[in-house]
Formats: sequence, C-alpha cells, structure tokens
Amino acid sequence: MEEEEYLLWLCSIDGFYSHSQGAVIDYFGSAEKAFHVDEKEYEPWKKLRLAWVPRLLASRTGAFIKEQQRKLSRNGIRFISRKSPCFPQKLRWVEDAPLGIFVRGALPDPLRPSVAVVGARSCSSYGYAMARQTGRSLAASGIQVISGMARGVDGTAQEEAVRFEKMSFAVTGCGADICYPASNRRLYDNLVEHGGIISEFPPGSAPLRIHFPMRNRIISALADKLIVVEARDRSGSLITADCALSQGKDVYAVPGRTDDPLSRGCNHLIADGAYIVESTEELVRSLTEVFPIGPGFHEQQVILAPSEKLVYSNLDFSAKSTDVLLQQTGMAPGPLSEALLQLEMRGLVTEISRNAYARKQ
Amino acid sequence: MFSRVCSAALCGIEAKPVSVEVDVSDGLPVINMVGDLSANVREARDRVRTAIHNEGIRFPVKRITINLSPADFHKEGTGFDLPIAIGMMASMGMVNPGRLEKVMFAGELGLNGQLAPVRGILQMTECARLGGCQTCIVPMKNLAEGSAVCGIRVLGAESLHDVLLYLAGRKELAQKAINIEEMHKHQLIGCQSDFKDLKGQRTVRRAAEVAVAGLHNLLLIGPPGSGKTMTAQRIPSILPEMTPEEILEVSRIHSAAGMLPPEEGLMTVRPFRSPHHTATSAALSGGGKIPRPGEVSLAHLGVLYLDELPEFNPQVLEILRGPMEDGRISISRNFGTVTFPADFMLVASMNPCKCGYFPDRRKCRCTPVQVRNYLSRISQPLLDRIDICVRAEEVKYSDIAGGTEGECSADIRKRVEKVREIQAQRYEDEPWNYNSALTGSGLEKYCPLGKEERDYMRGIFELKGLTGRSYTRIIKVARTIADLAGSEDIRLEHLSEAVLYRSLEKEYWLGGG
Repeated sequence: MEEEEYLLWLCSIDGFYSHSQGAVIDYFGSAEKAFHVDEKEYEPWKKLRLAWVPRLLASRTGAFIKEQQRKLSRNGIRFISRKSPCFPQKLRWVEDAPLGIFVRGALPDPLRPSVAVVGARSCSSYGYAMARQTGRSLAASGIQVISGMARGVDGTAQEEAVRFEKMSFAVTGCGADICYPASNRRLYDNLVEHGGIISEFPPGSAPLRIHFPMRNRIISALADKLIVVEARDRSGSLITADCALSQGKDVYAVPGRTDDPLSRGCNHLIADGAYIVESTEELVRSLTEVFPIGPGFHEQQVILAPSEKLVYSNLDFSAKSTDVLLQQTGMAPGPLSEALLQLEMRGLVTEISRNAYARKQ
Repeated sequence: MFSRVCSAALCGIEAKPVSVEVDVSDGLPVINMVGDLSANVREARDRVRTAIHNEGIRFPVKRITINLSPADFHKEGTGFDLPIAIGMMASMGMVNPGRLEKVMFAGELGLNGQLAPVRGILQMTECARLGGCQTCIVPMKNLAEGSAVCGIRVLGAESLHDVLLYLAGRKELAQKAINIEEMHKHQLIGCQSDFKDLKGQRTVRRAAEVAVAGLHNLLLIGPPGSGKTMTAQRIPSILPEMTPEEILEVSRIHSAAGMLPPEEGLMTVRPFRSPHHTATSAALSGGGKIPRPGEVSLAHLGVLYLDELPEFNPQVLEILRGPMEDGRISISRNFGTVTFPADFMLVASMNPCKCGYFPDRRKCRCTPVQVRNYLSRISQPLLDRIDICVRAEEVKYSDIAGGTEGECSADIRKRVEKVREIQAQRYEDEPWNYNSALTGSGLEKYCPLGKEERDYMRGIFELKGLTGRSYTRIIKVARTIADLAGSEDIRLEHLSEAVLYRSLEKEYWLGGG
C-alpha cells in the first residue's frame, strides 16, 4: 500500500483528531508502522483509555481503507495528505496541521490572495449587509473568500463570493459530504460546483460542537488576512482571530456601535490593535495594493423615486418597524408600504420580521 | 290533594316549560321526587321543607310526591325550589289554587326562606310568555333580567314570605321597567376602554380598524409591553353598536352561564372574553353533563382574545376551527346534543420569539431555528383563518410624553359602521355579510383587479413567497381597505397596505436579511 493510503486510514477514524494523529505518528515513526505493528505495541496507549484506541485497532485492515476509498469516490471527495504536493503550502507549516484534508470541489488557488471573512451566526442586518458587501467586493477584485459556511456572516459572505468562479471556499466542522446547517443547502451546492468544501474530518462526521474551534485554525491558515465582521464578546470568531494572530496574519475588524453587544468583540479587536475596516472600498484598495491584481470594484448607482428616497433615508441597518416609519415619514400606511415593497424588489431593503424593515445595502 | 305550578328548566341556553306537580296524601311521612332529576334538584327537598318550617308553618305528617313533568328529559338547577314550595302549600290548602293560574315561578330557596338568583331567568321568562303565562315571579336579583322580556308581568320577590303574602292578596311585589331601546342608546357609556388611551401604535390602530370593518380575525405580534392586550380590549368599543335583538341574544347566553351584570340585567356592551392559555377544551367549547356555554359562546357577537397564542394547547385551539367556520358550536354529551351560538371575532397575540424581542438583536439571541420553532406551535389551519397579522411596537417615550391623544373609539366606530353598511348592501343577495367571508367566485365578482394591479401582485407574490391562500387573504383585506377609503375599485395603495397586514405564513418568517 502507498503511504497516502496509510494516512487516509489515520484520518478516517471517528473522534481521532489531529493532535492524537501527530502523537501516534511520532510514537511509531510513520503511519505505515502504526498500521502494521503488533497490537502489543499499543499497550501504553490502551492504558490511557482513550475512546479512539479500540476504534483505531479495529480499523487496521485493508478492507477498512478500501471502504473509505469507496466512500470518497462515491461522494466525489478527494483526500489530500500532507505528503501530497497538492496540499496547501499555507496549511503545511501551521502548528498542529492536519495529516490530510478532505476536499469536495476545488482548493484555493495558492497563487491568488485569499482572505477569511468570519462573524456572528445570529448577526444583525448590519452584519448581513457588511458581510454581503465584503464578500462581493473581495471576490469581484479577485480575492478568494474563505469562511465557515455557518449561518449569518460566514454564509452570507460566501453566498456573494460564490457567484464568482472559484472565489469561495468553506472549511466545515463536519464531513465534507454533509451540509451543515441544512438551511445553507443552496450555498453548499454552489460551493461544490463553483468553489470548494474543505474539512479535516472524514466524510460522515457529524457537526460536533468541538469540531468548530478546530476548523477555525484552518480557516485562518488558508487565508492571508482575516476580517471579522460582527462578533459578540466571547464569539468563536475571536478564536479564529487568535489563530490568525498566532499564525502571523493581519486581522481586520468591522467597527460597530459601542452599545451594540454584537459589535463588542470587533471593537475590542480594534482596541487591541486590529486594522479597522473603514469601508469595503477602502479595504479592497488596501488589499489590492498588497496583492496587485483585479479590476477594482464599483457600486452601481440606483435612481429612486422621491417617496422611496424618503423611506430609504429613514431606514438603517437595525430593524425599524412600520410604526416608527409612519411617524418619521408622515406617510399613510398604503403609500409607505408601496415604497417599501418597491425598495424590497430592488434589493435595497429587507423585511427582517413582520413589519420590521432594514437596509440591505 | 293535588296541585300544579308552572316553572321552566334550562337546557343548554334554551328554556323548556316544566310543570311542578305536588300531591299530598296519607301514608308514611316521606317526600318523593321524580322526573329525571339531577342531584341539585333533589336537594330541593331539604331546602323547601326547612324553609316552610322556618316560615312558621307546621310541616304535615303526610306522604308527599313531587313530579316534574315532562319527565322525559334531564333537569338541572336550583330554580325549582320556589315552585315546589308553592306547590306544597297549595296542596296543603294554604294557597288559593286560582292565584296560581298562568303564573310562572322560579328561584332558589335559602333555609330561612330567602330567594337566591338562578341562571337562565331571561329565557325562562320568554318561555313562560310563549306558554301563555301572564305573570312571572322571580328572585329580586333576577328582576332586571326578567323584566327585559316584553308582554309579560315580571315580579321580583325577596323571600318565600313575600310570595305567600302576594298570593294571599295582602302584598304587592316589586316591578321594574326595562327599556331595551333606552339601554341601546347608552351602550358606549358602559364601555370603559377607549382607543384614545392607546398612544402611538399607528400600525396596530389602523390594522384593528380594518379588521373590525371587514370582520377579519386579527393576530398581533410584538414584544412584551407593546400594548397588545390593551389594543384587544379596545376592539369591542369600535365594533358597531348592538341591535336590541343582539342584546337579547348575547344576554341569553350570559344568563344561561349566570354571568349577567346584576344591575342592568342585560349585556349592553359587546362581550370581551380572554381565556387564560391554560384553558381546557371544555372551558373553550362549553361542557358539563348538561353543557354550559364556553368561552367561544360567551364571546358571541363580541371578541375572543387569546393572549400568548403559542402557549395554548394546540388541541384546544383546534376546537376553534368549527365555530370560526359556521358561527356556532355543537356539543354532544350522553344526554343529547346542544348547539350554542359562537360567532365571534378572534383577536390573538403572541411574542415574536421565546424571549419576545426578535428582531432586536441587542436583546434577543434566539437563533432563527428557535424563532421558527416558537412559531410552529400554532397550527396552520388556525393561522389560515386569521386574515390580518401585524406587529405591535414597544411604546416610545415620545408617544407617552407627547400627550397627544389618539383618535377616540366613537370616531373610528363611525367609519366602521359605514363600511359595514357598504358590505351589507353589496352582499344583499349573498349568504354572507362581510368581506372576510369572500371565497373563490365571490372574490372574482367583488374584488376585480385591473391590469396594473395584477402585475403588481405578481411581483409581490414572488417577492414575499406568498401562497394561494395568503394571496386571497390580501385581496380580501384590500377590499376592506378600499371600502374604508370609499373606493369602488381596489387600487395599488390598497393592495400595498394589505400586504403590510398580510397573514402569517410559516414558510415566510425570517427574511434573514
């Protein structure tokens, strides 16, 4: 058997994560040895009573590896080990790098710049809008967007970026064959087609809670820079920011209002010395200066009727109810609703909840 | 010796004539009661005997047989105490039987002979009049209620003693003049809550007006303290005034439930019922061995308000579907089936999510899944019957401090009554009276859309992910809005406003942004 297959074996065991993988390889010298040694050699490991040890021992068969390979080909997933030349260079030198990764779709182009966009799952409309703008303008300027395909900021940024070919890549906390959250099905399918899904967990792995902080280090590793859009105080996005900093990468944060708990994490990052995202245009300009490529990004101008302009100017990124709008614009319910519907049809405004509207751009 | 006294039994919300037959004859001293009686009728034996005894009359050592005829239906209630007592006295020769001709008696006796009020006096009096009686003797506390019936003399007595004096011709009993027409005019005075106390809340106010005008059911969504209950309580004040017939109809139900206001004797204000969310199905629909009216019937011609809709037991809510469809509810128990009227306007309220603050992300951390789960506790068939759904916003300081009073209920009611008239004329030849009842063919006939409007709605349909059902509801509501604006045709602005109030659909909840 090839070394690649031995590594696939080590990477395919449920609950056997990269730090244990590394420890096993260090102990036996190579994956091949770990596969072939007598079971007695595992005595010291057995004494530790780790959950994965019996699973590891039981899976030391050629049939197991064949089965894994079948599973991969059935789902159109590639396994890329650390020994493979295709393995992303950026990931190779990271501390605690995985032995191999499972990829559905494409891998990020190493010659192109890539930026990670992360943020809160239950984000505000401001978060949605900023994620959308960032994702779109980055991808439009030829910068690859890496994120976690989660609800909220992650998924939204990727949804925009995936519209450009091979510009959006997701690092998931479950097997690459699983769409999590299920509500992101369309995004998942688009990513398989026009981007890539990357996971260090074998196909079929459930989206366990402990997987998500682990995959964050891969998100930051694959990117050259990290942008945090909206984050609460102890948000998972801040873990990603920590990973990025320890990997020596620049962190950008989108500022928010001081009284907004959803922006506290971002504002804190800025206070700690993260770059501030003044505007998406400015961000793209500063990034394209570092990576001199791409056509640049321009917002198209929209022409609005006076009543629509009045309503739009009274809206902001946090939800505003029709009650407030009726008072602020002084319009009657009929015309107000008409203007809101027109704005919604143009994609400028969204109805977040019943009778509560916010700007989309 | 044998005697017979007229009375009536309450059956559901209707009264049936019953004659109380008493026979006193020689034999062992027992009191026998027959005639398909429930326990509380049987207890009359002890109350009557003691009351007569305390009247200073020696109870005869004789065999007394009492029969409530017709004996083929189950009788319940305490109203037979008085007729039984009078029957006994007549059999003992202490009352002139001639004085009992064409007189109906009803009332509960205390041990000292005091008369206590009973349920259902209104329909018993009506029943007596139909049966050809000329006089009704009822407890003093039921006098106002009984006096509402025209064409019969209703007398109120404080005690058995008074009744006996009256029958001996030595005392006159109290009478009361009740004029329904007069009460009808003073309806609004009795109504405590007025829309002018509701500050701000432009959307909700307007939605309530539209809902009442077209008799659409209404769902209010909003955070705690946004005035949902306050709004609902004020809705009866903008419903059209009740006609005298309606007053009697509503009063009959409340009389059967023993819930009439004691002073006026009639329900002059439209009922507002707000059962707690722990209510059982029997509490809502009505129940008991002989069913009493439940909340849906007590809300007849008024408002049934369900606060915290998702907290209600879904199976209990399913009960509402029948009454909302045909305006009455049939209850079957082992003794038979009764039908109660239950034609109400449904007003419900709920929080947008479990914590109540969605979409205010500063306060609410509910995930979209949690928000959706919270909503999914309400059954879709019930949501399908609610045409208007609107968000109530938290009251802002500027609204409270501004001091500007909102429009008062009387002004809103005038507009509502106008729209109700328009509908009455329009649907003269149809089996329904309100825009909310429009269906398929009626919709095409009475709500035609122009080309521009149709194109507009096509856009909305896709934008908002509407279903066929929610689409028809928007058209119905737009019809009412057009009526309020005095417009024959449904125009773009009417449709747009109706979209603002469109019904809640599970599929479309989180835009996500």
